[in-house]
Amino acid sequence: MPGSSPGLRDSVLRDRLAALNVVGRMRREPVRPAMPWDRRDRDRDGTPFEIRRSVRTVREIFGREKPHPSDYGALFLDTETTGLSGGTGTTPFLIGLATLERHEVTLEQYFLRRLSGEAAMLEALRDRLVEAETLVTFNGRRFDWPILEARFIMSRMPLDPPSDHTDLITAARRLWYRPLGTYRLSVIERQALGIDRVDDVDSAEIPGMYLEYLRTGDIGPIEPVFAHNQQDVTCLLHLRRRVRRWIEDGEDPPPPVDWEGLGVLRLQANREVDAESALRRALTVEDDPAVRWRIATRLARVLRRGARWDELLSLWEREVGGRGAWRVRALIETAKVYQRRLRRPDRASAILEEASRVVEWLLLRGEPAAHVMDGEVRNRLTRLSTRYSNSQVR
Amino acid sequence: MTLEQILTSIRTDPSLARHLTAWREIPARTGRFAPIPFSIDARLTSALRRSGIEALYSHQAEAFEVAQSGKHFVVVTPTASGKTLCYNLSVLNSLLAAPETRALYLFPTKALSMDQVDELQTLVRALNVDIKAYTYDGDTPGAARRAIRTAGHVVVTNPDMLHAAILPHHTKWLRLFENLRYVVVDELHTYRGLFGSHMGNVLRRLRRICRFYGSNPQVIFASATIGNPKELAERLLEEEVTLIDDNGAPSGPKVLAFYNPPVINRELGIRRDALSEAGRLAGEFIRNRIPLIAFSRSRRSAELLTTEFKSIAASHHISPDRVAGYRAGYLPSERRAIEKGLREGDVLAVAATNALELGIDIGRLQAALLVGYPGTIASTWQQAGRAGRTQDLSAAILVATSDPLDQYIVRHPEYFFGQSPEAGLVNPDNLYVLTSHVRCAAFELPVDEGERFGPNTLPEILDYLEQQQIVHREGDRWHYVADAYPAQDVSLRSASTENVVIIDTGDPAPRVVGEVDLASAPGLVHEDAIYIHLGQQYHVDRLEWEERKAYVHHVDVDYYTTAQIAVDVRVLAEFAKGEASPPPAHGEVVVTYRPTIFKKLTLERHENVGWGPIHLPESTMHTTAYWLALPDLSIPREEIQGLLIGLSHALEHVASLFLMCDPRDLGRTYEVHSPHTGRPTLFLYDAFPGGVGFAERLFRMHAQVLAAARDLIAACPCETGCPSCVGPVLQVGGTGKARALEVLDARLVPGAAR
Repeated sequence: MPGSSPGLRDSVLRDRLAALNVVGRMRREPVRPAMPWDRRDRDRDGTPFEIRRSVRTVREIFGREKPHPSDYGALFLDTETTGLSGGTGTTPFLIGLATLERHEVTLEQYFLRRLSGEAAMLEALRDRLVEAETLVTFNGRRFDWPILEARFIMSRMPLDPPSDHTDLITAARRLWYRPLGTYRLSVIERQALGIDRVDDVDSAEIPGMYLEYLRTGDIGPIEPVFAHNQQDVTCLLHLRRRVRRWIEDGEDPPPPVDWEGLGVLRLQANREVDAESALRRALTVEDDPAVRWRIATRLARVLRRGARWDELLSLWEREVGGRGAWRVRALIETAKVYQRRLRRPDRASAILEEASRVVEWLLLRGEPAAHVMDGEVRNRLTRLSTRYSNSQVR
Repeated sequence: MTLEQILTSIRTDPSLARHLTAWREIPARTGRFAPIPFSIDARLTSALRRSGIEALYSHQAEAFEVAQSGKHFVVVTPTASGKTLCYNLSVLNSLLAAPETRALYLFPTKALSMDQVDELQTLVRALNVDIKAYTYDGDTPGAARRAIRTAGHVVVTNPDMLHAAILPHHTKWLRLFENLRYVVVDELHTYRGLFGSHMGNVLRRLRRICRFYGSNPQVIFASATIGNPKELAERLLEEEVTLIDDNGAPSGPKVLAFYNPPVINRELGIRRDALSEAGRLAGEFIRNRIPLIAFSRSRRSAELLTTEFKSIAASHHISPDRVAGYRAGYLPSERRAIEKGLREGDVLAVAATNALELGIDIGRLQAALLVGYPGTIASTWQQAGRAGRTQDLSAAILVATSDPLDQYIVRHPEYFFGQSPEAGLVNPDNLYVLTSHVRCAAFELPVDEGERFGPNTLPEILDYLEQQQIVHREGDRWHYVADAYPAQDVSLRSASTENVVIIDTGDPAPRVVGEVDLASAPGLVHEDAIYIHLGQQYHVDRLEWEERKAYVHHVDVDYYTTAQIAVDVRVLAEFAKGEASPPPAHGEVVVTYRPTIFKKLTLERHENVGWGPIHLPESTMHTTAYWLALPDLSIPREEIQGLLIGLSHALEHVASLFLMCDPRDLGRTYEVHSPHTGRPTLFLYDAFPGGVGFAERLFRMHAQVLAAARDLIAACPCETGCPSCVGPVLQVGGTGKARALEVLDARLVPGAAR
């Protein structure tokens, strides 16, 4: 519209924007009018970001339990952000931290009063990160840390990654995904740690609440987010201490828990004896044949490493009670133990003969994997007889 | 028979020869060469020599020289002229000098990206240095992505990935953006219309991010035939771009012929069906095992041709497996298999839509059949170019349909051969597109007061986005604050990102057979429609509109369906009007589409054998339109509708010729009594939300367009109207043609009355 006055153009442009509906959805009307940007925070001291710090005794947090020695020197971190999708347009506006020293737990929260305070906030955070030996988060590898990394780059500030980063979601996935059907922190907290939260805010509401704060400058409605974040950080403290005790100190967790997952975590921590007991416990409660098979395989690896052939044999002999294909697989494993470890080719071949009878039946039933198993059993039988007759000749 | 013999027989067979309206023999070209420049790294020179390249084509040497000067440039030379070396040389040369250098290659499709990486890697292998070129697209495995982000010297991707995955995560691409020296935009000609308008904004965002990281890459464009490469590149880049179009590559001799099917009903102006005529010509090629590609304009025609080709093959003892279809809606794996079959010669004939038009390598085809004028001069040359990429003789035959544009072209071959190819029209300042990208840009970096992003409307757009609670202003900065990933909602290719999935509910288990975009869905997969995929017919049993799912089952019937969609238009704002009385005008409108009924037409003779209603919600679009109100006429009321239909029919087609756009980029409708003008009025509108500028251009060249419409109608041999001029007499009535001419002669074309 060449020639029109700027004012007219503005209003026409505004109408056209509204008509085009570029955003593609109707925003709910804000409950409260926005404050002009320079008048927000007017009754505050004007710092663009603030630190809330509270110090608790270790006893207040942990009760009669003791923190794990490695908790000292760790920095526990959880952020609240303007969005959950990640990417450069996601700003962390509240960073919750916890550190332990002697008998005290220090809880800190860095809060962005204005978006322009971000660089200052990141600088303060960097000082804390440098001091820490370990960073502890929940889903921090995928979410919090990449977002922070992006923010540092966008503020043109160098950032060294922490020398060690423990993301508790890895353990949580192993321990609770099967029994709880999820590994959300809030569910784990309630169901597995037995901690009840009261008056918590819905995470999905948090970005909107912060935007409302930015628009109005009113801190009141967003206070529950501070409480939420502090509970998340506290939950990290509990979770890490318990998980370490279960994995590294061989203590058994209360149900619901995935014993196989615990076994795997203990194996990864080189706690073989405790791992074995968790895996054995997993086998006592597991019904799903595919999972049983997986657990037995893990357990077998432990037994083989210890050359515990009799126990290995009885492990597989117990699995022979399975049905169909699972029975065949267990029979093959049993035969392998007889042949390779116990030097009993006769027993091995008798067991393979039995396996081949089961396979025949599976073939008749049209079991999908039956042909593959048939081939394997035949091969083993042939090899066995060749080697056996060779050794006879010799 | 050889191709040469077949061509001779076509020219001498009287039943065919008299329908040939043009026969051009384009002589072979000898190459012009230049020595490999001395300033090129010796390792690169010897690698080229090892791959058999002793000298460069003149345009390749010119491109290297311009690249050294640091200027942005655009290379426009035909297919198979060694275009990619025009940028690969400079990129590799810089990489050899400074290994931290990075380059970003953008191709419009994944398939092209893969082709390019293969080519680049061949050269890199010959160099025997550690230069890594990777494709980065939706198929790149997660584990490889990290390596590509930090270690890829040349990242090959598409605009969609850049838009939705790279720019919004630019911090992960620190190494790339800090050291970005070259950006290559190949297949420039595809970036027109809506896609081009989006591309302009993606480039704005890319360069904004580069500025943040302190780099200022040189941009190299490459393109197949297009009328305004320099202008288009400059419009996209908003900077000066040097043109390199003096092609030094040799090419084999080529024949380009126009074939106009005979009129079988003079009164109604009906010509023999282009598809069956094409089948007849194709028979000659297939029978003699001449590798053939046929392009048709719709998915449906491509499917019908595939069926026809298969039966031709079968009757000549050629396996029908050597014939394939190729169009949008086929799964990527199906497409890759067909491309490979063409390259390796397993596939002898393919019936495709323009989905195959781009530079996808399908090897050396000898003959091309264009069933229906592809809509633009540029795409005609591009489709014809799919035959004969080698030094040998090749042939392309355009078979005209009864469409007015086809008829205009085949009856005025001098227009086609004398005209330069179409200009690519883009409007990166389209408010809808621009606002979408401002939103994405704000997500990537806060926007500062005084920053520029395209036109000077940024403050208003940011105000609007703040109102919508997407950005938040603080001092002189706008920060992105919404809890949504904006690039996800913005598709570069279409107005909507949504598709309707087509599910076959038949045996043994339900499976997805394909998908159609939301805009085409009401016409293609309404309930009781016959949807054709891979030559198979499917009956649509149920369309779950909200779910975006169509449930179909396999059928074998002798008809197809075609849908009718009622279009209403409402004027929102008039931007300008002309001098005449009543004045032509252009402005902003809202268009409403309402699917009404569908018809069943026989496959053989396209006879109407039934109809049914379509129950689907109407959809609306804001766009720009050109409109023309008719003067006071002494024409009986009952004849006005026929006049409007006829006039708009002729105008729409002529307009797309003058606008140099695809006819599908324009929509048309009319009102017998328009509430806006108070008169009988016809509307031509941009078929994209917000428009890309066709309406305004049409407004400016309105006199020329009306004169050409008059020529088209006056020169048509039919008596009272046919699809080639004003539309079939059934639609325009007995007086439609005469009245349209009368109006054009008397009132609209000064000097035309005699």
